[in-house]
Order: sequence, then structure tokens, then C-alpha cells
Amino acid sequence: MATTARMMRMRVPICTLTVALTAGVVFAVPTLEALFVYNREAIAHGELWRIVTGNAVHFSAAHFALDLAGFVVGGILLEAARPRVWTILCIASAAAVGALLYLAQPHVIVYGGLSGVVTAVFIYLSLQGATSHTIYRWVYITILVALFAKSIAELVVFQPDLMSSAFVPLPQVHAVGAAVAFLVFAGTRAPQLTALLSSARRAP
Amino acid sequence: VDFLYPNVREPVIAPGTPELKLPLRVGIAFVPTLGARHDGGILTEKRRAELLSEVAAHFRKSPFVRSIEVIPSAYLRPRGGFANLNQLRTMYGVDVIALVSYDQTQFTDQGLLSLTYWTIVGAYVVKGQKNDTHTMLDTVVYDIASQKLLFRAPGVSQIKGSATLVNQSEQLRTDAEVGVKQATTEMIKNLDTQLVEFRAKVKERPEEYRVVRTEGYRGGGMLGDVMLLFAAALATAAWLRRRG
Repeated sequence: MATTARMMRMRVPICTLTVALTAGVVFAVPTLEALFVYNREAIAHGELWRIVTGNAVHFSAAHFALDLAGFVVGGILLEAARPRVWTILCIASAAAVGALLYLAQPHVIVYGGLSGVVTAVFIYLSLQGATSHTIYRWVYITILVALFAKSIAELVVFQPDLMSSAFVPLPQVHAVGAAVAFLVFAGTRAPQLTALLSSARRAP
Repeated sequence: VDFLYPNVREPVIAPGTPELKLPLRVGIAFVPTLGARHDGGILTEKRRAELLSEVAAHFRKSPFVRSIEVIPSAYLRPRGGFANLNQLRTMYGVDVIALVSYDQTQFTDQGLLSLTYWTIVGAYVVKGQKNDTHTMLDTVVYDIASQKLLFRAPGVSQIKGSATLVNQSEQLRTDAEVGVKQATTEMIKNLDTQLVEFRAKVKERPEEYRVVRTEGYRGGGMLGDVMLLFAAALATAAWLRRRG
């Protein structure tokens, strides 16, 4: 009985699974990929949905598997805890990635990948844990610092291996995802963020 | 050799440093020959087209290849050389060309027991006995602008003669067909190996190959393996918190 009651209380992460399934179908059906992919010329001709939907397109099996694994784990954790934030964060980060590419990366003609959104989800989860009052707070702070260090290192020293990849990896989208996560967290949990930043300033 | 360096027996080649604009646009074509072939009509136009398609499919698998154009034989002139390839470069918008050449000899004459194939990397001497069938298929891949040989994938077949006077022509024809199949299989196998080795070579020797991005390119947001560790760490931390 107790197990059944606990299972009843568990939320099915419908949104996360829907996005994952959509990405899977888009990956499997080339016509859908052509319809969803971020394509600079098509966007210029008014196909604005591609700014957001391009995030659901993947160009290789490894690309798809890595992005989806990260998204499913992060998405389930966030959606279970804060479903409304999940919606805001996913839409905002996907739109921000597409917008950044369109405004600041004119050489990127075609783009696909969910990693900007996944980074946003991971950063938000880390911020949420880091501002909690549990003994695991320092675990989240460590993850948060490591995520930031990784994002900065990617931007500074990353050299794309053009011969081995079907596309040019763009670490900038991870930085965009991180920035969006901070803004959303600041908008939804401002007092906790202020407390975290104060404690960071006090730290030796 | 005769196509790329006409009227030169042993060419002294001084290529420039190739600038590879990735992903590459590759053209693929059969090398035209002067005069009639002595292959008994085994490699017909249809078979050649199928062979080119097969080779093209293996190029397409490489992540550094954006497109591959199969170029009809009519666009290549015998002894056309790099002048001809430069025309193709403009016409088809390709930077790199894969040239497939083919030669097959059947030693039906008792007196002729060795043969020399002139390949782009030198002479290849074949010794044979009566009714042996030797087939050679060779794919050479060139950067057209710098005239540099990027890599080469040969495929060779030697079939020992088993024909008698009674069934000689029929058996020779069968051997010719089998020879082409065997040489094709070996060439494709070598091509796969060479494509992987070329990728490593370009990475290891930046002084020999300049790699640049094309103006407009395909970008991707991809998580690395490290992000999966973060995912595992977040999931573990959430589970521990839930357990209290």
C-alpha cells in the first residue's frame, strides 16, 4: 500500500519525456530534421520556429546519445521538483541559444543540439542545491564551480577537431545556457541567490 | 600517371601545401584512357558507375566530407592533367578529386610473362603464367589546387589460370569478372583504412596540411563525456537528499 501511494505521488516527467521523444523522432526522420533544424537562411525568410526547434536536432548518433542522456537526467530532476521552472528554463535557454547564433554567429548556417538547454538545466539544479540548507549543499556548490570552470575553459582553450566531427562544436551555447539559468534563478529565487553570493564573498 | 602527367615517364612532383576547407567537397571520376581497352568489356559504363557510387558511399561516411559529386567520364579528357581537373573544380565546385583507374591483363600469350603497371607512386611489376588474370584498381585522391596527393587506395587481384584449350575463352571471361570483384573489394577495404589514416595524418602534421573552415558551416551543441559525470553527480545528490 505504502509503495503504491508513493508511486501515485511521483510525478511522471511528461514534458521531459515529450521533448526527448520529439528529439528521437526528429533524429530518425530526415524530413522532420529539415523542418526543425536551425537554418539561418530559412529564419531570415520568416521560419522563426527554427530558432527554438533547432535545439531538438542532432547530426550523429553520438551527438544524439550524449545530449539526450544529459537532458533526460537533468530534465527529470528539475521537472519533478519545479515543473513551472522547467518550462520557463527550457524555452528561454533554447530561444537564447538560437537568438545568439542568429545575432552573433553569422558563419553558422545550420545548427542543432540540445547541450545549451542541458547546461541551463544543470546550472539551475546546482544553484538550487547550493542555496538549500542541507548537508549536501557543498556537493552542489562543487558541481556548480566545476560546471563554470568547464564552460570557461571551453571558451578559452577549446580547439574544435574539424576532421572528426560532422559539425563544428560550439561551446558558446553552453555559456548562453549557463547565463539563462542564472537569470531564471535570479528571477524565481532572488533571496536565495543573494545569500549564496554573500556566502561566496565571505569564503576565504 | 598518363592522365595527370602526360608525356612524362617519371614525373618529379613538387606540390604546394594543401589548404583543406572543411568539410571537403569531393569529386570522383574514372580516369579516361587512350585507345581501346583489353579487358574484354568487363568494366562497362554501368559497372563503372556502380563502382564509383560504391566508392562515393565510403567517402560520404567520413565526417570531414560535406558532399561528393560523381563526375561522368565524358568530362575528363585523356591526358587532361591538372588543367582538366581545374576545369572540373570550377564546374562542379569540388576541392578534392578521387581518380579511379583500372587495368586488367590476361596472359594468353606464352611469351609475355611479366607486365608493368605505372601507378602514381611508381612501377608495379606483375609476373604471370599462361592464362593468369591480373587486375588492378587504384583510387588516388588529390587536392586540385596544390596538386598534392592526399592518399591512395589500390586493389589488386591475381587469379591463376585454370583454363584448357576447350573452355579457354569462357574461363578467361569468368576470371576477368572475378578479378574485378576481388580488386574492388580490396580497394574499398584499403580506402576505408586510408580515410581513417588521412584523418589522423592531417591532425598530426599541421605543417603539411592547412585546415580551415568553410565560410558558412554547420555548428552543433554537444555535451562531452564530462557532462555525463555532472549528470550522475546531480542525480546522486538528489537521491541522497531525498533519502534525508
